[in-house]
Amino acid sequence: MAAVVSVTPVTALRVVSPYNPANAVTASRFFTLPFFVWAVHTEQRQWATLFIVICGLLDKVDGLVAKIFDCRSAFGEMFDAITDGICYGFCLIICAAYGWAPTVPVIFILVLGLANSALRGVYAKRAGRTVNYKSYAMERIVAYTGYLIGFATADMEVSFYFWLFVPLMLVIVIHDAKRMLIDAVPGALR
Amino acid sequence: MTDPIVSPLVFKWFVTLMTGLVAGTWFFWDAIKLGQQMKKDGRDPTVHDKRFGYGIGILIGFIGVWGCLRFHGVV
Repeated sequence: MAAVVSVTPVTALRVVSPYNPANAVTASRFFTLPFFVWAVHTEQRQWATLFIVICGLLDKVDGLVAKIFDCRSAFGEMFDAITDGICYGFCLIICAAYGWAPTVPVIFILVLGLANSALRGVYAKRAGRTVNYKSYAMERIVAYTGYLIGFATADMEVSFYFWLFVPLMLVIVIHDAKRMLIDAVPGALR
Repeated sequence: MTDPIVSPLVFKWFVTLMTGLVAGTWFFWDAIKLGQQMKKDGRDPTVHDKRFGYGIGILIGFIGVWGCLRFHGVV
């Protein structure tokens, strides 16, 4: 059967400046991090939850802005994914450091996240261009990651949600690894 | 900016609804999407990826709702 792998059709997009409204919204997510750290440090759980909610909502808004201003780009998609990793990874580390989240699952999550990023790098190399591997399962687990931080800040069934997250993410990373490393890459340049 | 924004009870229900409504909706939405994908050819890698993703979505939705029920001592 001919290999038809699901990838975001970024190659078909027109060239747009990286300095566009959607990327500005994506970058603005970083501004929530100092406030988040302040809230955790001063044990303001409600404020910490608010800042992670804002960070998560901005993640949804940037896609909307990209559509409205017609400024979708390969760089924008990669920037969005990297921002997800940095913001959520940083917040998880802060939660674990302050004892708001269990350390062992957080370490697992960070390791699996880094492994997934490395796999995406290999996939882009195989494709010979900037391409974001579209994983329906990973999209869902990333949203769950945002919620995980909210569960930690709100002190809501923290162990339950964190420990169930680990096997789910492990299964997804293994599944996606096969797709990115072994299966054919559509439109590979080499 | 050092006082709680709302009372603990309101906050508890806010995070419950934020989780429960999204997780519940997600559960049913991905179940519908999975049902649609089951009619297609599973040998197509794209269909396979979607089925896997929607299956994970259903599981996450279930976990989200279950956690809310635990949070309120229902289960």
